Amino acid sequence: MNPIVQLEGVSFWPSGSPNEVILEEADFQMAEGEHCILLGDIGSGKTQTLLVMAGIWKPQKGRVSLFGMPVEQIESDDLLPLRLRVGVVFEGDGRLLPDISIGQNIMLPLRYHGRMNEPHEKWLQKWVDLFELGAYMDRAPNEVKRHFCRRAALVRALSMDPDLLLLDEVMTGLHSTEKAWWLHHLEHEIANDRLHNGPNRTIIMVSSESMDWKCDQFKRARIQNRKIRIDQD
Amino acid sequence: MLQTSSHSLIEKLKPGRLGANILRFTGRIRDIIAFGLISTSIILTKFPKARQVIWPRVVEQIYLSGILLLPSAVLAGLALGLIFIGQGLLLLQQVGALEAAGGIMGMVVFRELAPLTAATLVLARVGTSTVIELGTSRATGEVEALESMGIDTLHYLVMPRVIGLSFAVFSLTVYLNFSAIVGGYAMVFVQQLPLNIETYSRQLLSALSWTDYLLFTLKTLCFGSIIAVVTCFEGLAYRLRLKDVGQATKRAVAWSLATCILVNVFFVLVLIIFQNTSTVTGSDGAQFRINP
Repeated sequence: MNPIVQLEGVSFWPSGSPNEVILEEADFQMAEGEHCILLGDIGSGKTQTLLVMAGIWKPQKGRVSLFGMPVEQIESDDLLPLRLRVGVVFEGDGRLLPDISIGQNIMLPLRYHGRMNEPHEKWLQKWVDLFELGAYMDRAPNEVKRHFCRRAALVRALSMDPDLLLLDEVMTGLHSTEKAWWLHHLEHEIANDRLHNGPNRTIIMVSSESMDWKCDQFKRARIQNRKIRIDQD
Repeated sequence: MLQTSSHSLIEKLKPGRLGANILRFTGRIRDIIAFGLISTSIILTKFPKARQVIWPRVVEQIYLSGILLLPSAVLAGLALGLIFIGQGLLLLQQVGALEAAGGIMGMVVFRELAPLTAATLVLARVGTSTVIELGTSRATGEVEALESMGIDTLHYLVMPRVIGLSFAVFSLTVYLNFSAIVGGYAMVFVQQLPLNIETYSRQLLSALSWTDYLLFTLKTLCFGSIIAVVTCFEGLAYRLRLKDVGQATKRAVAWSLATCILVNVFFVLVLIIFQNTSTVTGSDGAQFRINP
């Protein structure tokens, strides 16, 4: 099966700090429909690795391929079609834009890219209802509890019906019932419900918390010693 | 404190440091110009794109910097009129040149003072907050969030500000001019100078040619764009820490003002080249030649 995202010999470090290597000669790949939890200590570079996988950060060394295409060889203007196939949910409150409402945040990608049509809006409304966000659509992000902001960020990331979904610490600090809610929806609707009955979504979730939840569909990987290692058990 | 400042200045002027500072200074000029050119190309190529998202943001900027600043602009205009035109008229009466007074004062206020005053108002009230807003957006990762949605950061964050601030400086200058003219005539009225409102208005209008209106429009649009580009550059170009925000805001104000003044000088030179002299008609129909 063709890899959806592939890292080959990837090394990167913060710009101007070549001695603070985050990943060194790291390899990783995920095939279509696969799910993975990427674990790592705080400060191990999980978020940066996610940004590299999303094509937002370019590594200083190595090769990153998204949907079989090498990201570093694509001009930034031509990267847009690939980027629209990737949804990212950021840590914390999901980095919703603070000056617009939750509803405007959710609709922003659709409006910006001119994808407002009835089937798409209906499909998106289903997510809004499923995630119980209807009551918050007109509120500003700072007026809404953090876990609802994360849900809104998830719906925003799903709005373009991405093939690859990247989740950054979305369960950190959540109550166990809320974690169970996330896992249930990740394993079912989020992984399988596609706008045009496309293939199952590939999901990569990074977390610094030890995983004591049941998530059989997710394989596990770890960032250790600047490499990404897949857990065999 | 004074000792520290002068010590720091001496340090900066040491031969080795001086070179580094000159390089940093020219590097910053290059970066601001590059940022301005990229922003211009984004405006030209993506102007009609995503209107549903971008135009409400343009309108918001016009509201914030144009409409909300209207009372300040009117107040500044009245003050300019009362102080500058009013005082000038008194002086001109003493030298017996009252017939050219409205024209001279109108030209000075219309051409030079009003655009710079409006630009300073916008810079102080909107430009400074732009640096803080965008600096915070960058620090909290909103820029990456926009990129992850395939949204061009410059298109979404910078373009509305450039268009909004350009129109805001233009329209504020118009308000400022009107209120300065009213303020000026209020001084004439209070001082009971022998200048009726009809003559005063005719002097003002005859002092201005189409070149003035054209340069006025270009100049105010340029001032707005400069303020928007420089403040957006300071907010977005570097990842700011909390302690850097104050410095970045000060830099934005200094660079914006300096650039606006340089552009103003450029426009004065253009006016001198294309309009060697302008003519002012006095109340008795006499023609006065005035160097711009």
